[in-house]
Amino acid sequence: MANLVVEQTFENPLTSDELTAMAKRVDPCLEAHGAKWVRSYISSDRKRVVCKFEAPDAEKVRESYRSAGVTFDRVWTADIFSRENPTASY
Amino acid sequence: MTLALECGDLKGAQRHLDRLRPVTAKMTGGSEDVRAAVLDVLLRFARGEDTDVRAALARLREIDSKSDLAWALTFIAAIELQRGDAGAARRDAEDAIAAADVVGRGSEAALARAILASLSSPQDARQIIAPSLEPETRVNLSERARKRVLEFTREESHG
Repeated sequence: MANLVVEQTFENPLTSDELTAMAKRVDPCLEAHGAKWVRSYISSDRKRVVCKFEAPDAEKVRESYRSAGVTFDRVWTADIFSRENPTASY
Repeated sequence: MTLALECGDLKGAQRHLDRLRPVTAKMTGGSEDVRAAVLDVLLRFARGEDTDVRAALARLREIDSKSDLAWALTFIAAIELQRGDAGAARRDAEDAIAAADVVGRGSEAALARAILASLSSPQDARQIIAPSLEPETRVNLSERARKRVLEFTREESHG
């Protein structure tokens, strides 16, 4: 499984209800595409969200968002960098 | 459009592409524009035009779309095989199988295995296509992939 990062921006601050509703729409699509949500970060102004997923490839996450009708700015595959072991392969 | 390419309907593929490009050009953030650009390159490659398929494949690797990568590699390998470039066909078919296996694209893997098998001895060929003939894999193959695998098994049984 690869590490995937999804970036989203919003014109208006997201409410907790909107975040929850978005997650509920995306979750079944992720499952159908063999992807798994790991964690999310939302900016303090609630206009930016970064989510981490595990999936076979980035396109599976894009397909999940498209299927759910949820917009995103970009999806990219990530390596995990560790200060303790910067050359390690994850 | 991929169906038209698979069927060798290059004029039809061009018509689909002409309608697709203006739409994908407006889409940002996703993979649609890159995928359409790659289809453009593959269409030119199929026509025999001088085009950089390696750069196109690099773009698919960059956006990390393994399903598209597996399909493109299999498409390219089939053409390379037709054109007598066995080394390139073998390399691309092997890469296609690797990409297809990661995302569970059994049909692309089966088509790529059939290409590899056709470049191998009968004994090796049976081993190469065996994973695509497993009942749980075979039942999920596209009609095109299933036919290709079955055609190949018939060729082998008569070979």
